[in-house]
Amino acid sequence: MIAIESNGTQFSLSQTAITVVFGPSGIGKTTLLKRCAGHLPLDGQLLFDDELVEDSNHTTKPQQRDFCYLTQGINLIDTMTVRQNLALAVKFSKHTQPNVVLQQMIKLVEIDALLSRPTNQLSGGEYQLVSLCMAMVSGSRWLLLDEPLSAVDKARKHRILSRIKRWHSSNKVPILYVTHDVHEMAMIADDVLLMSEAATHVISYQQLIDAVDSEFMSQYANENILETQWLSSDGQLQQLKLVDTDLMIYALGAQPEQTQQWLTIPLVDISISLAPLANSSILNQLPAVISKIGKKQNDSRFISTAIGSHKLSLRITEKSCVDLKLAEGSDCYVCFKAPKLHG
Amino acid sequence: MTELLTPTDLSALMLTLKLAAISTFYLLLIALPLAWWLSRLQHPIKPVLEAVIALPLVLPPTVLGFYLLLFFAPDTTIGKFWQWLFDSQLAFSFDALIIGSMIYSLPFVVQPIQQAFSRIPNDLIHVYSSMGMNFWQRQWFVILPIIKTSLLAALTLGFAHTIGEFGVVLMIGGNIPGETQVISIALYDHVETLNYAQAHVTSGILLILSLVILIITYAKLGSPIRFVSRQVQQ
Repeated sequence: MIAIESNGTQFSLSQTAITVVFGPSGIGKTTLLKRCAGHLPLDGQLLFDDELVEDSNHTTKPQQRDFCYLTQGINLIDTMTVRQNLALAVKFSKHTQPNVVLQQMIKLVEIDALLSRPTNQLSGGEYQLVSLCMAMVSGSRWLLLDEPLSAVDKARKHRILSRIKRWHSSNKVPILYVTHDVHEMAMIADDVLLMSEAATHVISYQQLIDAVDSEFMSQYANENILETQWLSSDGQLQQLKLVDTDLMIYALGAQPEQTQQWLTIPLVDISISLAPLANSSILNQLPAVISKIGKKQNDSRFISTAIGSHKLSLRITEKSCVDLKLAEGSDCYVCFKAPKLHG
Repeated sequence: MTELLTPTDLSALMLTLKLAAISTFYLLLIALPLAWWLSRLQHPIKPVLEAVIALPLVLPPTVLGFYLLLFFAPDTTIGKFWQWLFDSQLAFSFDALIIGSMIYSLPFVVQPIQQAFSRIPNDLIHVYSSMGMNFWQRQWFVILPIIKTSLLAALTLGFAHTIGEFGVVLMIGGNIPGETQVISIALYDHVETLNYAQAHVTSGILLILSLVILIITYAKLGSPIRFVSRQVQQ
């Protein structure tokens, strides 16, 4: 367990989880990371696996903490190539076979083609991927990542996040991951460290999205994200399969290069029907179970449905909810027009 | 070369190179921490310090030499301290030339390095200390690769500028062959005694030497002068 007491707030983090730090700009997410890394005084106490890292009398130097800290901005030496930067990470890596890890990570973040590139000729997104690669090669016992993928395009971000998630499930190194993006959080978070003016607390991601009436959900739950597998193409219309199900989803866009595709579907674009819609232009109609109905807010309700292991949230009017006699546990069909592919 | 150069000229040339090498080396030791400190300094005093360091760029070297001569005199605190420390006189000695050269070339070495340092954000240093690097490892693996070009430019400029020194040496070194007579002073002597043939040889050597150093610098590093001239313009 990682126990942190900083500046009057107190919380503890799982030592095997990816904890997403979420909160509005200026709330102190970066400051928290710097404090954990030892670059700013903590004004409190930090225990890592029962080891005292910092308190008012004692502080372990950043280089002796064995935490890896990645900034939002500059992480690489811009007078060297990508390969030289990564070689430096290998040199100081705590992995027993850093070069093997390096090869894996280069594939994971898709930077094979960038290795000979001078660092100052990378785009913002590429720069972040190389930085992330460096952090994962470091072999540190705690990764502190400050918006590591904010400039990466959506399709690639989705692929990389799902790989990080898989990588994490085998090695379980704790990660503190700052992001503004609810999709990133949805894809990667085990736990969420919610920071706000009022309070800072840790909650599991599942609990967070199950609390359908919370302020968080009303503010941030605007889109769903579904993992799919591309199947076939008919011009601009793509047929995809919802993973772990036999359900088909149609989407619009050019034929994608990767089979793995994440679709984002805004809450407001989804409707509910009790029976499949015949004679409808709406292409996607998926059987679902209503798992949660939120409280009445502004004469509408937040509804959470389950399609196999997937979750799909939507918002409908109070009138529809009453007319259809919706209840938790009842079957329904969720309907939405073909969403756009990210590419 | 030996036929062209008189023994005095040859020793003046060697003394010049020795002076440039030694003062550049000491300058490096002073300039690195000084430039780092200045690049991190956020205090109203900063422009004053930078102006003081930049003074040799604009001040006639004879003015600098005149004040150094006053400071180095045997009856001053510095002169007495030097006498007590090394049991030798500071004024009109080779050591005085080294100190004078260091002050004279200080902006040429400090400014490029300071510029390079100010391009290194603290965050970057934080990243690499988190990766487990200690102070010296960060200097070697992170900071040196970033400032390498500027550092080479600074050293070359410092060296070349010291070779071209005249006014300061004239004031504080005098003209003692083998001790303080550098090649530019030897040239002055030749002209004064109307020995134009020898003046041609020494001038030519200085000209070619400076040109070669600058050509190598420009070829390897681009324009090192732009670091300094940009600073002067500001």
